[in-house]
Amino acid sequence: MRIDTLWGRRALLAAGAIALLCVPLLHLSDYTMRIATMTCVYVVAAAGWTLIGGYANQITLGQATMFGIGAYVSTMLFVHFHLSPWIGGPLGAIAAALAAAAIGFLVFRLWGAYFALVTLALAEMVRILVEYAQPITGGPQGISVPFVRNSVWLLQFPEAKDYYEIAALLVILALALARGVQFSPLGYRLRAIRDDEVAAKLAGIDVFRTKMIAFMLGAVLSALAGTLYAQITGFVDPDSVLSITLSVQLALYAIIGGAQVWWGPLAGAALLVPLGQAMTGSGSAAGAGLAKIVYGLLLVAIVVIQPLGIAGFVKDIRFRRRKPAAPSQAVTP
Amino acid sequence: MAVLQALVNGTLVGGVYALITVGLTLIFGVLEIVNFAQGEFLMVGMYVAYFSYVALHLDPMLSAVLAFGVLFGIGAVLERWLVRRVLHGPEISQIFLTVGISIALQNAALAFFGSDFHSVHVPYQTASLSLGPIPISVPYLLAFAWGAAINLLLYVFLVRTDFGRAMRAVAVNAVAATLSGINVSRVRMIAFAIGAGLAGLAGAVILPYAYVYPTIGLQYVVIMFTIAVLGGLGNVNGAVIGSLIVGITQALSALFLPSALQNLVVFALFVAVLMIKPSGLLGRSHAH
Repeated sequence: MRIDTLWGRRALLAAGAIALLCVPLLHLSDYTMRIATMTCVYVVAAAGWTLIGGYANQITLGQATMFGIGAYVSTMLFVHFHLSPWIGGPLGAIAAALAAAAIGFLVFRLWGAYFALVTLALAEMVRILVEYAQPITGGPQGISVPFVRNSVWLLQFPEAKDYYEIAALLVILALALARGVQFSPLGYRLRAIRDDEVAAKLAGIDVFRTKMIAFMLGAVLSALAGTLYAQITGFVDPDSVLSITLSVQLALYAIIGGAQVWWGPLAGAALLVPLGQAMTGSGSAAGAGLAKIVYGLLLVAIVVIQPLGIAGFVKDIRFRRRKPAAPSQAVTP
Repeated sequence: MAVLQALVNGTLVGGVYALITVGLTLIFGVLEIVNFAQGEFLMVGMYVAYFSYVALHLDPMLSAVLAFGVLFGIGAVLERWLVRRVLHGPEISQIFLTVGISIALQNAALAFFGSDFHSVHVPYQTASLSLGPIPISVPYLLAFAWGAAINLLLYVFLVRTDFGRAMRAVAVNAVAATLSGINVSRVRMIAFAIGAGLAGLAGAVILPYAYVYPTIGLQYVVIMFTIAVLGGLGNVNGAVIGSLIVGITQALSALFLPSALQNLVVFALFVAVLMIKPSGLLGRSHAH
């Protein structure tokens, strides 16, 4: 059967989704499964960045805010009101979407570097406020998710690997959404804005509304990832969920994988998260430093050589294969 | 009295901010690139001064010149081999190239120097002069003096020298500059190198009252962007005014707000200014 047909592609995607869910059948080590679970979390969070940063080229450097809102809202509701993360997570997602609406309202008029800088400043403001509201949020020291019992209803399990199926399901949902958007009228409108905002506006696209929908959808994805992160690690602090470093990291996964396609965050995070975890595994500052040096250098190399990321390389290869012996019709000047 | 003290402190801090930010502004003005690695250039400058102090007992006020030289070299190399390649590339490359450089530098410092905080001990560290009833910290005053001197020098360089004029010409219109016989690539390389060098110099100058550690750049970077944007990205004189506004705002807000919230006021000011005037307080309006 040819893969390059509508049904062939659908079958391939379904097979991929099933394979992702079946990973635990391989009986990998706990350590490997932990890495796989964390990779899933970051795939979902980076997919949130892709919707606005990649599809619409609205380069936000504040996506950690959405991740952090998801992590903090569910955790605080659990700690203060004993509310299950199954309710707290969606509430966190709603809160993140509302925050995105407020931020979008402020920043969508700005372009390019100004947009990036203001999203960065707003993210720092959120971080400062969370650090200041110590009685509720735990302040700079962070807040623990108390372990009550092994329970699906409380979304609490003893080991990180026990979260894998839920994380994998969330990945499938997130990527299905990202793919759906990419090939929907919304996706085409976002692409038009990415290519030329003025032309998009002249073509009758409601630029503000289109950006807003993508930004809010992305916020929901990153927030859900944040809730799951809080449950897995059992601890939330501003440094790990609200920092500039995390914002940059989410964008980095998406860009290295390919910011303009739905599977970019999957490719980027699947490559970089295990790499980072393996190199930090030694526990030394030097190991952590070395892993991030590789991140930085890869980012530099990608944006200089192929700004479309891994997806760009794949596109080149497929294009070449499809037209193997295209007669060179280059017009000689 | 408290207000007067705050004004004096704010002005001093503002002068230091002007020194830290002027390089960022110069780079944006000439290359139209926001250098997200500027905070890490500052960090490297601090380490240069720290190690000169440890190895040679050199005072940071003197090793500032060395830090300028080292960062000038790093800046020139980075421009020649990397930045130049994305100047006409997509926006995502322009932003994330320097982000990538900053990640690499930050973590190289972490891998090689460790995450410990370091500082230097100089005789004037805790000294203060008194201006009437108001005490003035000597390390801040020295840093302020460097800031004033550098901004004056840069002004003279940009206005009085041929190379400075060429730089301003490139900033205004690179095509026209090329047609007038200016070597635009060379001007851009030197501008980036000077911008990086100034960040290194600033790092050395603040070392007597600051700790150096691998992520110190993150502490300064958002403040730097705030100042640069307030003054209008690319506007060197604007950066000085932006610095004073931010320094004084911080000092005054410390009077009635907990210190944890100091930067909140600054960032709110930043966002508010951009809402009213999307090209910055003193920015030229860009033809979008």
